[in-house]
Amino acid sequence: MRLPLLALLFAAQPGWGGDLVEANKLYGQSKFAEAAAAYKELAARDPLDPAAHYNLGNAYFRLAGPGDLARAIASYERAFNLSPRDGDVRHNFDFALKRAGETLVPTGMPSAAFILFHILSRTELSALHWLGFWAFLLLAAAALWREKWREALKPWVLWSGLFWAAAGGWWGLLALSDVQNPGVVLTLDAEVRSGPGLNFPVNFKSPEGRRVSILDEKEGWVEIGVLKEGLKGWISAEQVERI
Amino acid sequence: MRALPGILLLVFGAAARAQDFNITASVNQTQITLEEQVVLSVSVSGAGSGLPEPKLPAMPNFNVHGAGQNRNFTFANGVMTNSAEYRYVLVPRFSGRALIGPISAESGGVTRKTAAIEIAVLKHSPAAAPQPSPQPPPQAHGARPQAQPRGPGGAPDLFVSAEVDKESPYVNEQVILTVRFYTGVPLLGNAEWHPPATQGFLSEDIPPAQPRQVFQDGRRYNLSEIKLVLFPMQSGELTIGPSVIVCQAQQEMEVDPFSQDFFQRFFSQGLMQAQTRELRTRSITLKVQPLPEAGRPASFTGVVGQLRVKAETDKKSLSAGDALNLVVTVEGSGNLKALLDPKLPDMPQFRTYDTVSSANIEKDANGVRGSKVFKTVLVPKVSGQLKIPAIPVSYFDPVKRDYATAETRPIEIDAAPGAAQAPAPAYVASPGQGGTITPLIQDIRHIKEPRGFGPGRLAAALSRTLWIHLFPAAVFLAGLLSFLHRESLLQDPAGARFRRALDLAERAISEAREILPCDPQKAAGLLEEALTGFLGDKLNCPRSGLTIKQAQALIKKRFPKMPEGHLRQLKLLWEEIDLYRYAPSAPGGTGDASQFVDGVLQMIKALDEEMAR
Repeated sequence: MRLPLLALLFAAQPGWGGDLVEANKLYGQSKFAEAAAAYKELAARDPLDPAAHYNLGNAYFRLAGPGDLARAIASYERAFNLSPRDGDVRHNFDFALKRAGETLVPTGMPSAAFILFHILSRTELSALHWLGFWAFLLLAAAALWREKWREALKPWVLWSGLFWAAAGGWWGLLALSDVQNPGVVLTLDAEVRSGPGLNFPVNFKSPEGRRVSILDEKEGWVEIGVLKEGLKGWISAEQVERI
Repeated sequence: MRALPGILLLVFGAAARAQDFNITASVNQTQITLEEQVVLSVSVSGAGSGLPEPKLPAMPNFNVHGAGQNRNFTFANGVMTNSAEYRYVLVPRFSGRALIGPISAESGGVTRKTAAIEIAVLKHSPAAAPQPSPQPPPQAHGARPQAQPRGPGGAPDLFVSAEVDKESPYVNEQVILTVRFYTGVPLLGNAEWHPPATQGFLSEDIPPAQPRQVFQDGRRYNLSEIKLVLFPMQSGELTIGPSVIVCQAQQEMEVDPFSQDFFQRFFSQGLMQAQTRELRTRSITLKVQPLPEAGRPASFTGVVGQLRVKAETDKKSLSAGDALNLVVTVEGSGNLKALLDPKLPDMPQFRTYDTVSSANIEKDANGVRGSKVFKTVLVPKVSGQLKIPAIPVSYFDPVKRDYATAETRPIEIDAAPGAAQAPAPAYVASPGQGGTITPLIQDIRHIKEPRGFGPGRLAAALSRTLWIHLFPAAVFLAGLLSFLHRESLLQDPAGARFRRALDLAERAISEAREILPCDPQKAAGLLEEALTGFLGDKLNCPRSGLTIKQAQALIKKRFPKMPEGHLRQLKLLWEEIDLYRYAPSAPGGTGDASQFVDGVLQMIKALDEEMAR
């Protein structure tokens, strides 16, 4: 048992708190470009730190240059995926999305239902699913091993199995409901063409910051799907940032 | 942020209405004499930044000279208005009624025209009669006067000259070409001027000065000067072609007083006749020097001349999120049309929008000069004492033969906290409404400080370290196999006994071997139990009370192919063990139990082998 625990503790090593403080100082001095560079490095070193992604989103939002709104949205989405119960993350993500013509809560869905559905992150649901997996298998193994424990362990085995199934189902639903292979459009009025090249006509134009699903990639072009309008087309890969 | 929609409307919306324009034309006077000039002003205005240039109609009655232009942009009520005024000087060539036809401009498939303008050109006024001039005549350096018919004193009646103010200019440096036209005889109308070929140059014509009188070679002449400003576009030898002047001069007729029509001619036409004369200057070749590569500043855009630059803002204090206008004015001499937008320094504290420019180009005898104004909308992103750094504009100074950079002075801006800068909504209570709070602004929330080791990180570690999940799976698998094994034993007790018989017997024999040295009697008992237990398990009958005869009978029944030797050997071994146990000192007893251990082991292995067949 020691090895798995050690592995878990190693994987769960804490973030780079001191560097985040330094980056926050740059942000406080309105040096948003420098702060964004520092946050970006932190987020690359520790992709599981929602604070680094959230602060990076703020720095991009304050920069307000070409493509910065889109980068802010991408960073907020990463922070939201890691920490969906954080009200600040939800607020800023929604605020930035509205600038790009979207909302965090899909149209027609009650806000409370959305928050309830996203009260746990995909990572947390995945962890709960694995905890249920452990509990069910260990309890079941014990019940199989000793006949005299079998009756006493039966309800525990049943409940742990239900917990495992519920967590796994929720995790799967959340994964299916999210945009698959997501990206965000970086440029204002980006031209989306009917094929991967400038010789194909422009199908439609996408505003900066619009979240899209990346469907395919070919020679510097990516095929994107815009869920809200139900459109898809090809765009230069430089104009899209993967989330 | 509040200014954003308006600014976007200014920057982007205006460009879409480029075809909405008007064109008007006016003159400073509609009645002139041949010695005077008309100033024609053409104005094009509209919303948007892409206004068309006017197209002048053919005007054979005038020599047309460009006299500069003025461009302006204005913002009012969210709309950008663009206007350009083009000025031309028209020098009449003939007396009579002259027509300036409709002047047109075309943009986006839309063509607009002005109304025609009629000018009355009168003959020379008495006041404009040539007067003696005290100044000496100018000396032409660039070209010698072209030989022409001469008057009584040997001086020609008409001649032209051309000269440039510099013969080795730098690329894009201003060169002034002066063409002088000397007339010593009366002209019928003004001369027609054909400008020279100027391939490799950008040219700007300069309005002609009023003719004056000079003395040349002891003769009085009317002198007309025409100037062109030229900007060489490439280094090397460039040639300015000849200028051509066509005029009609009055010449005395050779009259025969004895001719038949002398009197008719004298009274009808006088004794003078008109003669068309074409005068041509010689070509001038310039050696154009390239601009030095060394020391070229990054902000240099190609202007050669002298420039000054200044910057100012329409506001010195405002709230973050509100817009201010930064106006950069560049003025001086040189080809200002080549001046691009100045590169603004990095200003992370401001949001910067597109720059629009307007130009005011003036032309005079000294060349082209004027100013260009660049307007940029800035929006402070943060509050506090902000600074617009010095803005550099570089040019090449041909006098100093070196590059120079003019800079604006830095500008301090006092930005108060505003909507776009506040990190979180501010809340104020409305008195008398039970403490209701109303958000004043909408903005993103502030950054986060570092957080400690949280459940989220542990969850991430748990969900990503997949190999550790093999552990409970292995435990479960082991428990399942154990369970299934036990279940299979319960389902077939006879089979289970049969399969376990050898293991149990070997275990008992091993135990007997251990206690044999200290307790041979007990060891013999264990060996007998091993033997009977083996047979009982194999034959699925109770082990207690099993006799050798029963055992032999059952073996023969269930395993008919069992060799008889095995059965005899079994009987013999069984009886010897019994004898040892119950009568160790009786005749025939061996008195040593150790020999039975290997005997029983070999016996049950031999039986097991036969039973397994």
